[in-house]
Amino acid sequence: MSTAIVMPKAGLTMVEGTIAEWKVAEGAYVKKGDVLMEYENEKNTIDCEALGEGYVHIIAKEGDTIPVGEVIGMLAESEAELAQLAGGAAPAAPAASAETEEKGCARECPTCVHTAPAAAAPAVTGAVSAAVMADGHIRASGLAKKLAKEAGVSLADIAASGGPDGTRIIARDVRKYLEQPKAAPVAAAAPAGAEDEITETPWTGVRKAIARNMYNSLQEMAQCTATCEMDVTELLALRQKLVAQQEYLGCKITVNDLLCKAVAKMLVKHPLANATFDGKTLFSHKHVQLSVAVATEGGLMVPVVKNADTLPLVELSKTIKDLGTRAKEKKLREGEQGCGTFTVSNVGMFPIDMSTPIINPPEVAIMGFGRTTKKPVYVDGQFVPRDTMIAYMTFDHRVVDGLEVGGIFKDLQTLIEHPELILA
Amino acid sequence: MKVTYAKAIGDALKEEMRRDGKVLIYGEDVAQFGNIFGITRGMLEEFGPKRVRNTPITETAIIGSAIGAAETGLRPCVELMYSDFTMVAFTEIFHCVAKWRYMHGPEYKLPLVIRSASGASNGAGSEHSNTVESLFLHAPGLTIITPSCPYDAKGLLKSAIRSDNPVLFCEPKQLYQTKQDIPDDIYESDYTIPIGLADVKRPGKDVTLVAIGLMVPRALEAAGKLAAEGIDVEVIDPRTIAPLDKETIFASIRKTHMAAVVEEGNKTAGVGAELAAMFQEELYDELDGPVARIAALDVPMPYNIRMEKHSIPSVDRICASIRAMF
Amino acid sequence: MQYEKEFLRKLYKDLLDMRLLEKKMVDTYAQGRVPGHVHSGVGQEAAYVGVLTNFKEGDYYKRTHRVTAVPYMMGTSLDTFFGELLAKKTGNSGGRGGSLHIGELRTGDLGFSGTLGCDAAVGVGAAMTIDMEGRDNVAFVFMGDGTSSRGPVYEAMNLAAAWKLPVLFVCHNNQFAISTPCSYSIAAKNVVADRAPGYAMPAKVVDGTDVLAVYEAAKELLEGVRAGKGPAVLECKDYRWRGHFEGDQCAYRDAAVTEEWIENKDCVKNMEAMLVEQGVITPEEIAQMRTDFDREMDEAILRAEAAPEMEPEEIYDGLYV
Repeated sequence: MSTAIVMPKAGLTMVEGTIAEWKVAEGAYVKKGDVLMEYENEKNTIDCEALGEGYVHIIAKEGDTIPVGEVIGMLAESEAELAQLAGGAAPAAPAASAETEEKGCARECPTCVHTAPAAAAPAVTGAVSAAVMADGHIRASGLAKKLAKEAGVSLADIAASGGPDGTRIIARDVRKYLEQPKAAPVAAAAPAGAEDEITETPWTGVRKAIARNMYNSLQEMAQCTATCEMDVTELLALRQKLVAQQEYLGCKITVNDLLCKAVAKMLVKHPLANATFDGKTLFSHKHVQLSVAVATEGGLMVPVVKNADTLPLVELSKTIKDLGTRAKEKKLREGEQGCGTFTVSNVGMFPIDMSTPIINPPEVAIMGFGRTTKKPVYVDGQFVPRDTMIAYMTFDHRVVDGLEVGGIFKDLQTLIEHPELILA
Repeated sequence: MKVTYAKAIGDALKEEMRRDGKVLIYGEDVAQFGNIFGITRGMLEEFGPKRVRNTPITETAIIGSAIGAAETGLRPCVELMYSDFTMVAFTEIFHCVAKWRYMHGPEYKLPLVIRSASGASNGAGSEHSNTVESLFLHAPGLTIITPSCPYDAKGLLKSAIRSDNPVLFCEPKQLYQTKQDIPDDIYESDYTIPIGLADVKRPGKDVTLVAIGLMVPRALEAAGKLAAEGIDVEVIDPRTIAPLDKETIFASIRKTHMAAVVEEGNKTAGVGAELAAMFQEELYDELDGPVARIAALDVPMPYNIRMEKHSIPSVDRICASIRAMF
Repeated sequence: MQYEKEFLRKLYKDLLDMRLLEKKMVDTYAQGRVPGHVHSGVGQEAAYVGVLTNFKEGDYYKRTHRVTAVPYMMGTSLDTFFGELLAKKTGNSGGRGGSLHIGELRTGDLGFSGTLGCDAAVGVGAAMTIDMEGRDNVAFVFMGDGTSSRGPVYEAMNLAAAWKLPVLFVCHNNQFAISTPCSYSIAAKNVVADRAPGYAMPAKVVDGTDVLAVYEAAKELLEGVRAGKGPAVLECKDYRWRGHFEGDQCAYRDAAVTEEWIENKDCVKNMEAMLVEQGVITPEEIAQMRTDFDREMDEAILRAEAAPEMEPEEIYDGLYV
C-alpha cells in the first residue's frame, strides 16, 4: 500500500510550510532517510526526509504553501502502484501519524526540563483570527465567505464572534472588519506630475508567520514595558580588554555577548521571567534557553542558545555567532528555534534608544538594549561624561508584576555596571 | 364571522360538491356519523348515499378505488380518518397514486384528494398522533398540503379538489377547533388559494422560520415574544409541502440570512431535514449560520399528555431554538 | 351455443394475434432488444380473449402483467405498444412505465400496479363511476392466482360486493406464483372462486384454455353484473408455459407436465383444429394471417427502434399536470 507524504510540522507555531524544492524526481526510488524535499516555514528552510522506502509520487508543487499534515505526495510500494497513483487515483486522506502527534515540546527542545508533570506544550494559534483552526481551516459561514471574497479580504485577518464558542466568522464580523480604517489606501492621490508606483508584495512564508505571531502576541498577552538607563562605561572598558586578548580567547567578544551573559546570569535568579506560559500553566525553567533576535533579509529570526547560563563567555560568544550566521543563511536546524525561555534583542548598532519590543510567545518577557550614548552623569558632586545605554523589557503582566521587574532591573544593573561580576 | 378550521373544511367540501356533481366523499364513518370530528355532518342528507359513502375499514380499497374513480371521471375526496392510517395504504399511495400518471402517460389524470386528521391531540398515543408529510415527500407526483388556519384550509381544499393531480391533504387535529375571524363576504365568496404558494405569515428581517401546520400559530406566538427581545422573525407557512414554493422561502432567506424550520413531526428525516439540506445546498453563500430544525422528539408519541406536550415543539422551545441561533 | 362465422373468425384472429405478439416479445427480448422484463403469457391467451370478447363500449378493464399483449387486442396500436416496450417516446407514457404499463385509458385500460394486488380496487373505483353515471357497463378486474393471496384483493372484493358495484373479478389461475404452486400456498381448490361465497358473490370456474367456454362463462356472469346485481368471480384455469420471466428455467416443476399442457391444451391449436373442421377457416388462410401479422409486428418494431427516446430534460414531464 502506498503511504502519504505530508507537510511536516517543525516547531510549535508552524501551521503551514512552503515547498522550496523537490530534491527527488517524480517516480524516483527513495530509501528511509533520503531527503525528499526542502521546505520553508516561518523560521527556516528544512529538509523533509523519507519515512520509508518506495517510489515517489509528487502532488504538491514547488512554491505551494501547504497546511501541516496535508498530503504533498505519496510513497508507492511498487511501480505498478506508482503508475496507478500517477494515473490520477486520489490518495486517501492520511490520518495524522502517531509520530507527528507525539511531537511536543520535549522532543523539539531536548534540553527543556519540565517541572510540571506531563505539561502540554503551550497552545499558540498561529493566526490572527480565532476562526483559523490548527490545520489551517477557517471557520466561516457561507455568507461571511461570500462577503469576504467580494471585498477581497482574507478571512484569516477577521476576528470571529459567531458560533457556540465564538470561533466562526459570520457576516457581522466581516462587516465590522470592513468598517475599520484601511492600512494603506490603494489609490492614494499622487501629486501632479509625479506618477506614483505601487509595489505589491504578498506577505507569505516567514513574513506572514512573523506578522501573525507578532499580532497574536499582542492580542493574547497583557504586555507592559519598563526601562532603565545604565552606565556601561565599565562594561565597554572590559570589552576593550577582552578584544585586546581575542587571539588568546579565540574569538572577538562583543558588547552583545556581555549583555547576553549578564541577562543569563540575572535570569537564574528570576525563574518567573525565565519561563513559558500557555494561559493556564507557567513553565519555569532552571536553565536559560536564550532566544537571540537576529535580523535577516528574510525577516526576524530568533535562534536559541541552549542553557546559556551554563556557558562560559567564550562559548556563549561562539554559539551566538554560529547561530546568527546560520540564521542569515537559513541553515538553522530543527529544534534551534521556538523553544526559548527569554529573548534578548539588541538594537545598539542603530540610532535607537529604546523600543517596546513584542514578546516572542510563549515566552513571558523580552529584554532589549538601545544604543550607547555619551551623557553627562552626576558623579561625586560633578557632571562627568559617561557611556549610557537604556535597557528595556516588555513583560507579560499576567505572569510578571512590578516587584519582579524591579528585581530584574536591579540585578541586571548591578551586573552591567560592575561587569567583573558577569565573568565571576 | 368566526370560523373554525373544522367548519372551513366542511364548507369547502359542501361548496365543491354543490359546484361539481362529480365530487364525492367517502371513507370510514363519514356518512351518518358525519366523520369522527363532525366535519361531514349533514352532508349525507344534502348529497345522498351515492356521493357521501361510508366504507368498511378498508384503507387500501379506499385509495385503490379513488384511483379508479378519478381516472374515469369522478373527483373523489376520500378520508383516511387518522393520517397514521395512510401507512395501511402506503403502497397504494406511494406506488399507485403518486406514480400512476407518470407510469401510464398523460391520458391518466388523477383528480383525487386524500384527507386525514394528523398529529397529536390529547393522549391519542403512538399510532394516532403521527404527521406523515415527510414520509410522502419521498413520493414525487404527489401534492402534499397542510393548511394552518381556517381561511387557508378552505381555499386550499377547494383548490385540491379542483386539481387534476392527486393531493394528500393533512389536517392537524389540534387546529380543528381554532377560530379565525374572516369577513363574511370573503368567506362566502368562492375564493381559492393556489397550490404551491407559500404565505409570509409575519414579515421579519433577522431569521426565516418555516413553520408547518400546527406549528404556524406557535411560530407566530414565538415571533411575538422574540420581537420583544430584538429578534425579528419572518414566519413563512409553505402551505403546500410538495411541490414546495422555494421561491418565496429562498427570497426570505436571501433577506434574513438565517433559517429555521419548525414542524410537528419527528426530527430525524423530517420535513426540516429536507429543507435544511436544501437550504445549505442551494443557499450556502446566503446563510450566516446553521439551519435550525425544531421538531418533535424522536420517540413514538407517549400516551402521557405531559410527555406528549414535551415531545412537540412548544412556543418556549421555538423561542429557545431561535435565540440559540444568535 | 351457435356462433356466427364472422364472430368466430374475429375471436380466432384476436387469439392468434395475442399468441404471435406474446411470442414476438419473447423473441425480441431474447435478442436483447427489450430493456426491462418480459413476463410471457404464451399459452394463456384464451382467458383474456374469451372474457374481453364480452367487452363493450364504456367498460373498463384492469389488466395484469401477463398476458402483456392484451392492450393490442383492446385497440392500442402496435406502434404505441412497441414504443412503450422499447422505452421510446412513441409509447403511451413515453417509455416511463414499461411493459407492465402498456395501455390506454380510451380503450378502457385502467392501468396496472407492479406491486400486485394493490390495484384490485382501481377496478372497483371505475365501477363507482359507472354506478354514479347509471350505465350498464362493467369493470373487469384481472388477477393471477399468486396475486389472489394479497389482502387488497379481498378489500376490493368486499367493497365491490358491499356496494353492489358492477365488477367482474377474473382470476387467471396459471397455477404458479413465480415458483410456488398455488396448491401449496392456498388451501382452497379454486383459489378465488371458492372464496367468492364469503363476499356473497356468484362464481364460476372454467377451462381457461377453451376460449369459447371462457367467453360463455363470462357472458353468463356478466348478465347479473350489468343488471346491477353486484360483482362476480370467474376463475380461468390454465398453465404458464414459460417461466415467470424470460430466463426462468422452471427447475421447480415437472417438465413432463408442462409438455402435456402444451401438447393437449394449446388454446390456439385447439381452436384452429375446430374452425378448420367446421369449415370456418382454411389452413391457407391461417398461414396467411400468421405471415401478415408477423410482418406487421416486425415493421412496428423497426419503427419503434428508430423512434426517439425521451431526453433528460423531459424526465420530470408527467409528474404534475
